[in-house]
Parts: sequence; C-alpha cells; structure tokens
Amino acid sequence: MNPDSILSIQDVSVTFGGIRAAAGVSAEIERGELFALIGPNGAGKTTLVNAITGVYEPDPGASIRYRDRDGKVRDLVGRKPHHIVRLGLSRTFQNLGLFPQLSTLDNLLLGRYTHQRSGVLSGGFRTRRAIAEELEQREAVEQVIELLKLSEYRWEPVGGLPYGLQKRIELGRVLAMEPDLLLLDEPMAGMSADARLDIVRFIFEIREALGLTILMIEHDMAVVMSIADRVMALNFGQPIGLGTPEEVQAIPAVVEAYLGAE
Amino acid sequence: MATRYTTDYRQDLRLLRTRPQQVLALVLVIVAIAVPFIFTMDYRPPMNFPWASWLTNINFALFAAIVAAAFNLLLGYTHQISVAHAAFLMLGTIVAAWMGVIHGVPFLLVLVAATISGAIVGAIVALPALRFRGLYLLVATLGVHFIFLFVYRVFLVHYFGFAGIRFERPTLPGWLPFLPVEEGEAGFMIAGTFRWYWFLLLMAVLSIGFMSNLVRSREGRAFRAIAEHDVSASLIGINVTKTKLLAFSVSSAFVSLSGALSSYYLGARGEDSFNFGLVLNFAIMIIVGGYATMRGAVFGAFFFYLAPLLFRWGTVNTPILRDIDVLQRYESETHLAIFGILIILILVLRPAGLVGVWDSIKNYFARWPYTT
Repeated sequence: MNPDSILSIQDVSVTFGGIRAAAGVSAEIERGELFALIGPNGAGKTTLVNAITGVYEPDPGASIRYRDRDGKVRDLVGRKPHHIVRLGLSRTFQNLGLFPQLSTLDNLLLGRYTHQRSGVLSGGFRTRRAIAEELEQREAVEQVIELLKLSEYRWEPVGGLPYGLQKRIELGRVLAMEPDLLLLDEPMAGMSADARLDIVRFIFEIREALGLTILMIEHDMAVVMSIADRVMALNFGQPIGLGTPEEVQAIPAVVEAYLGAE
Repeated sequence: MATRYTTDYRQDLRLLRTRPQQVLALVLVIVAIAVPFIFTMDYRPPMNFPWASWLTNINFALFAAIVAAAFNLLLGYTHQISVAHAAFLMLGTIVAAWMGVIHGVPFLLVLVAATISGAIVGAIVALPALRFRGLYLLVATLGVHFIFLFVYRVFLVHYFGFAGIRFERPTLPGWLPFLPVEEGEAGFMIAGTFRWYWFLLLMAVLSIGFMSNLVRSREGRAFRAIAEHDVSASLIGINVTKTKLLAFSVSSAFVSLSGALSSYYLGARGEDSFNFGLVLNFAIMIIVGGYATMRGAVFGAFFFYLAPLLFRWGTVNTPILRDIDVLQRYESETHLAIFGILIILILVLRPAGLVGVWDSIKNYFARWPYTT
C-alpha cells in the first residue's frame, strides 16, 4: 500500500450468481483527494462502494486496505459495516439512506452515534454524563445544520421534505460522523440544476474546511470534470480508465462507453 | 425560564420542555393523588354508576401501561413483532413464585430479580429471533410462547400442584422513608386497592419514565433507526444485532417486572392465567393509544380498562338501552362489540390513536385564536 494513500483496492471482484458486477478493480486513493468514479448504469460503481463498506463481501483474492488517522493499516474485507464505519469511512446512498419518520435533528444526531458512549442504562436513568454527552452532540450537529442551512427543518420528519433537501440532510449526516474518507454515491442524482449547484458548492466547502478525502460516484460529467482530482471509469464491472479528468476524457473506451461506438 | 417555546438545547432534552407541559404535569400529579381518595369514598352515585370498581380497574391499567410501554418499545419503536410477551409475564410469575413464595425472599428483591431475569431471558430468546423479520419473527416468538407454557405448567404442578400459586400480601421494609408504618408492625403491608394504587403508580412512573428517557437517548434513536432502515443504520456505525438484542432485553425486563407485580396483586395464579390472547390486548392498547409513543401506551392501557366500565354501566342502566332484550341477553358479547366499534372508530377517525386525538385538542388551544 502506497504511503500517501488512504484506501487501497486490489483485485476487487463481486459476483452475484453468474454475474460479475465488479471484475478485478484496483485503485489507490490518496489522502485529501477527490476521486470520482464514473461509468454508465450497471457499471458496478455502487457495487464497489458496497464492497468497500462491507455491505457486500468481495470474491476471494480481493484486498481492501484502509489507513486510519493514526497511520495504522486495516484490512476491510470480511469486516461488518458497523466496524468499518467506526474506522472513519462514511457513505451516502444513491437512493437515500435517511430514516424518514425521524426529524432532521434525530437523523443528524444518529450520525453522532459512534461518537457517543452512553448505553441503555445511562440513557434510561439520564445520568449527568449522558446529558452532557447529548448536549455535546447537539452542539456538533448544530454546526452541520448551520453549514448546510437546515435550521428551518430541524424538527420536521425528513420523509416529508423535498428530495433535494433530503439529499442535503444525508450529506449532513455523514458530515456529523466526522469521517476521514467520505463515499458519496451520486449525491446529485435526480436534483434540479440549482440544487446540484448547491451540492457542488457544499462539497467544495466541506473539502476546504475539513480536508476530507472524498470518493464520489457521479454521472454528471461536467461536475466530475470540474471538481475531481482523479477519475476512474468503469464499464461492465471493469476499469476502463484511470487518471486526471482530462486524461480519462481522452480515452477512446470511455468515450465509447458513454456515447456508444461509432 | 420555561416558556411556550424552548430557548436552549438543554431544555430540548427535558421531558417537560415548556411551561404548558409543566402545568399539565402538575394537574396530572394532582389528579393522580386525588384519584384513590375519590374512588374509596363511600359514595353512591345516581343510576348505579359503578364507583368502587374504578380503582381496581385503574390498578389494572397501571400494570398494563408498563407492559404496553415495553411492547411499544419493541414493536412501535424497533419494529420487532414479538408475541412472546405473555411468556415474559409467565417468567415474572415464575420468578416471583419461586423466590417470593417458596424461598421467602423479600418483595422488593423479588421485583429486582424478576426484572433482571426478564432482561437476561429476553436477550437469550432474541438470539434466534434476530434471524427473522416480520411474520416469521411473529411465528418464531409464538414458538417461545409455547415453550414457556410448557415450562410454566411443569413448574406450577411440580411446586404447587393443581391448586395454583397463592401469593402472600407483600410487605415493604419498615426502614424505607415516608412509609406510614403502624406501631408494632415490622413493615408496611401492601393490601387493598388503595395501598396498591400508590405502589403501582410509583412502579409505572419509574418504568415508563425509564423507557421515555431511553427512547430519547442514543440507544433509543438507534432503535428507531433500525426500525426504518437497517442497512443504513449499520452504515452509521450501529451494531444492528446488538441493538435488537438490547431492545428485546429491555422490553422483556419490564414485562417480567409487571408479571411479578400483577401476580402479587392478584394473589393467585393458575394454569390458564396466560393465554395467547393476552398479547393481542397489548397490541390493541398501543395501536388505539398511539403507535410508537410512550404516552400512547398509557392512554391505550387506561382506555382498555376504563372504557368497558363506562359502556357496561351504560347498557345496563340507561333507560332505552336497558329495555333492549338482545343487549341484555348477550351482555358480554355486547360489550365486546361496542369495544370493537370504538376501536375501529378511533382508528378510522384518528390513525395516530388517542395520542392523535389529544394532539389535535392541544394544537387547537396552542394556536388559538388562529384556529379554524
């Protein structure tokens, strides 16, 4: 594993029955960069993210290693999602992973789950420490609320809010988790042009302010080309290009995958 | 500085956040204190209104409120359908009978033991149940119910024969503060509906208070997160298996406590005390009262035990109804049917249950004069 990289993926394949959703994908993601994953529908982008976060188990032979903030290298294959999250990787979902009946505040506070210690007894008896901890989390969450301009919706159940806003709340929840590596699965899918611009701006601000490493799946080529440091293109589960946006854009296989062969 | 609205984060964490809520709580406390005195007065209301049975039914509602709240914690908040709750009432009874009746362990210790065994057995039972969802979980927990029926029956016959268990009146130790212990007695005997009311009220307030705090804390939020989206819950760091286990465990602990309490209250427990239909009663309470709210469990329990008193009285004593032959001849079916109609009416008119009724009244006044 490269000393500068935060995540190293080697030969990751995921097979469902006879279908190889990802076939031998390898990549090194450097600390601090914005790495974009592009490719047509069904190219295996989300599958790859699911393999990294432990939702799917990759086929034998794969190696996914992650360097945590203390410089320790951890093998992620075979770990449960909640263990992986605790190492400092957080993700959003393509089709929303919010808890619709809970308020914006509760959804964001859930992002602080791993930062809290209190259990059933201290919560039920409301010990001094549990209250102090809860107040701390509230302060942290209020910062996210301010950053993403969510204050009007604090008490609203998120299920009833517009789609774009829900996407923003989900982004807020991963921010509240204070990850080192952020995996964004199509953070702008299905949004209006204005709302997309907002999200791009937020992603930019977050990066500047927190120095996060971001792995982003995105369809909007204009967005990818303007904000990504490096891009990997996938097609039918296979990597067809890796490099700076300009380089990848010039690869014939990528053009073909997006526009069809001439 | 409590007002109509909250002004700081600490205030948001309180159970009683605003001045109106505090006033309401005060009114509730006054009512709770007045209730036993009112219903033990020697008073004969007009038209044979059943005065003396109220306190008994209120006591039943207090037990039921604990169980309904625990059931709601599991079903309403965590979306785990379990019908094993009658089994945990049995467990509480077994613990109370074995420790309290056979070994003479003091009452309060028995209650603690019943709660702890409920928590432990609840976690064990949950282990296989964690593999299932929805209706499969329901059937698996039904299996637990059958196993407990077997255990309970063997226990009963082995230690008590076919006569059933007889519980002594429990005694609280004399050294506890605030107890009006009479001279020459070692402790304070809990006997009669009046004294039981106070003890049950305390137990209900403590249990439901604990659960209300819990659902607003870190683990409580995790319960609700799992209910709505378990993959997403695991991806924010929640150990879904462990959290489900906790929900089962806490819920079972309080049901077991209530089982022990109710056995002492009733004084006797036989073979047929715990049929399967019992669980459905609690389901009615939480749905009619208000799904996934702690208030709803309390509303539901009181509705379940107090509404029948009213319409039983109504059908027997009111001028026109008492002359309808069918109503009198099929008395208990009539009461069930009225209860059924009431349940359906509440659910159709206010899907959020009695809590929904309450909230619309509250909002009417909160927004007055801007209400239509």
